[in-house]
Amino acid sequence: MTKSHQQTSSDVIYTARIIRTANPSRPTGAAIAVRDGRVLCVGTLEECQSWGITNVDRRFEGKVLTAGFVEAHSHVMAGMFHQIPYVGWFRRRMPNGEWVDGVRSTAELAERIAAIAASTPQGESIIVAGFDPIYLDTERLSRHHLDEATTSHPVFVFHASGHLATVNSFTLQKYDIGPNHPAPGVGFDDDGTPNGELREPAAMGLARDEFRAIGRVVFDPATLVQFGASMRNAGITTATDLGSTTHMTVDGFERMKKTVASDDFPVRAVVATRVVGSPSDMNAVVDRILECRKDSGDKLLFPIVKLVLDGSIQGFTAVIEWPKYYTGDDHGLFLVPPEQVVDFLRPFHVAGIGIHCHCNGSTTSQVFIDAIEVLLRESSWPDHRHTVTHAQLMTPAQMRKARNLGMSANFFVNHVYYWGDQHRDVTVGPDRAHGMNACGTADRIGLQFSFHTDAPVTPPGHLHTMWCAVNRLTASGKVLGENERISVDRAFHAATIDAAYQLHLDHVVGSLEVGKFADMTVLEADPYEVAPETIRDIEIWGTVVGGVPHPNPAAK
Amino acid sequence: MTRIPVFVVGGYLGAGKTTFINECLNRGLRNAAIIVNDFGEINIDASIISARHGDTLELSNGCVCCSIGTSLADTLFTILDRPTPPDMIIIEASGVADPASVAAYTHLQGLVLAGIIVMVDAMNALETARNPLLVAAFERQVRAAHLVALSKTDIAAPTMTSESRDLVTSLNPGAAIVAVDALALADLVVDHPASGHDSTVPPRTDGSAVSAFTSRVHRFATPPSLDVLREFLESLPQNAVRAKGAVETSDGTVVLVHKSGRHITTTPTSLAPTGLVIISTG
Repeated sequence: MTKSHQQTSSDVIYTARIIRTANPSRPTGAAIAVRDGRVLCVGTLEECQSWGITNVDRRFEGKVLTAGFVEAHSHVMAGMFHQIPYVGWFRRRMPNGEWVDGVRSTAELAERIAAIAASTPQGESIIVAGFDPIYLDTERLSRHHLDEATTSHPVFVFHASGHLATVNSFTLQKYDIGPNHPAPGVGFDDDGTPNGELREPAAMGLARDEFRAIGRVVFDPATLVQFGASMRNAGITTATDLGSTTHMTVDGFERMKKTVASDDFPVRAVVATRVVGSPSDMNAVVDRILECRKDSGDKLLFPIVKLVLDGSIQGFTAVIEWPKYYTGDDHGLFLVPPEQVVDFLRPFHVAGIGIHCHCNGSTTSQVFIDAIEVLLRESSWPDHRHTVTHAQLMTPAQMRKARNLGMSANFFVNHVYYWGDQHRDVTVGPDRAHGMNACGTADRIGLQFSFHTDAPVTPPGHLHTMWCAVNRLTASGKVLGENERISVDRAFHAATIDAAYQLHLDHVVGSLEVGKFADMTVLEADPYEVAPETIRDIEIWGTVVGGVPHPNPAAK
Repeated sequence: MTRIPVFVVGGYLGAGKTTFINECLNRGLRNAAIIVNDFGEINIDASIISARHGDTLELSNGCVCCSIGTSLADTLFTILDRPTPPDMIIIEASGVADPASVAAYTHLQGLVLAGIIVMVDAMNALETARNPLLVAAFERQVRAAHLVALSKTDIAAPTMTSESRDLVTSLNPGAAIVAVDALALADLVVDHPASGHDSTVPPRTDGSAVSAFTSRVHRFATPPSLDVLREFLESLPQNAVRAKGAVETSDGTVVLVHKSGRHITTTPTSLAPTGLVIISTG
């Protein structure tokens, strides 16, 4: 027996009902052998045991193991609901694994807040988040509803869009927001008194303490801990914080590193640096990223940066091509000057750092693709994998060009379900709505793609994105874009190895292959075998990261 | 409660925003907080930098210079939290930002909008306004302005300058327009109201001795009521593009006046009365 056949103390074989590897060369197995946190063998139990391992762990015997899901576009704020109660429309799993039911009316919201008020000292702020009125048939939320909940605490309801808050009368009085307040974004009743709506950060900031409390959550190490827990519960083994600045300070980096390095922290964290400031600042950002890479371990990774080019489609702030918006006013807004995009990105491209660019609109997708073409003419990097993220309105022509340039797309496919009806009826109209987040077109064209949840914007978890890509059903139950539906197998690869590819991490995560990290998602049923319309309902036991099981504490 | 006057400076790339801010710093701006978009472009004499932490520079003249970061609200809150808050804040909006959206933040407690200055490059304005990617941002910027500084008129062809001026007027008939470069524009902002026009202010870096503006100090014979003061400011001739000063009012309080174009603010101040400095073109 050679040395490699001698069992070491960490060696373990997990058996399962089936293992889905995301490696088409050997797509399934019955057992997986793990050594030093890496895949030693996937195959039959006998094949695994032939490595001389006798330690067989049968806890997953009746379950399904898949290559760990990789989320290439989420935000650490997905951990916020640990500290800030969730009041959204859809039921949602909290970091502790418990489900919280959706809030289905303004009256129900008031009841939730009243319950919190009952155990909160008078005068102390009550902040709740995730409220999503787009689905409510009842009248628009105002201070009047919140005054039903309490008149002795400041109440601040932070909406899911991130662009709006509603406050109660106590809050308005606390900050002297009275009739005819001049700030744009303060909403009024017909009689001229503020109705409690504060639109956009400039107006939300009028409620200074409450608004700042939400901002501070981002940098709180507890939020990162809860982000990890939320991702584990959703079956994600590699999760991206797309657009972070925390690590730009040494203190921030050290705090982050300490949190992630803990054995209890259940995911590999990909930190995508937010490109912000001016082009002349970018060389220093490159240096900082290279510095962070040196000393961060194999659970904290800095492969890419993120640039934001426009706003959102439902907020009418995405920049889109002719004929622009279907209804509503066009507020399309570039967040950096289009002619500076190349200057912003050049230092990263030259240094070999991947670029993910937030483009919701078709105009911004084009500007980004054109910028990458300029950079590639200047400076060759055949393996760049620069990615259009969101890519919601990318056209077939843009996809062909992106393919030719070696780019990728990361679609916000959850929009089909969460906002698909609104896109068809309100934002872009019936024709273009069918072609939003066009996984089918990308597949036919041969553009490399993944998809994402943008958590906390939509709940984390790739069973839901897969379900959207496979079924294309809206919240009202209508099919939106039947020709953009893809197969379960294609969707599974998009959620695993193809997302890993966009992060330049496909050599270590994204599939179960010899030598790669033993990162797995543990499911109660096989997405390939259940009825496609029930994929999102599959129970998630938890994950295995680096060979170590991380159960969702609330799972059966 | 006293409120800190805030200038928002907007305009597309190349219009001269950074040159303007550098000139303000070089010309003896004191106790101001400057929030810039282009931190790397700010040209500060290293000898006056007294401390640097993260993206914040403390200068020996009492100024603090910081980047806009990911949240303007947070940046402003941090400035307001300083043990000695600044006398003035200048925010440089990004080349594509809508200055009106930036100015919305001046309604935060403790701040007041002194004016929105938008710089328009007479060499490139017409082309920018024809570019389908840029026209929306350009028009939003011009429409938001209280005061438009038409820059580079010294090198632009006269027809370009006049067409640019017409374009600005058609987009924003109410705005005051001054045809000055970024260096001269600093004259409208730099002088501290407490000191009137201070002869110790260093000369402009272009070496020209004469300002593009004329200024006078107006003193009221008897302290005016707020209404009278406001009427006076509103009745100033159109070429009086800027007014500032601490003025005693009839009820004995002193108010800080800022007028930029047609935008007028009066807020209570703890400064001693200075009279009203009125700055005019021509």
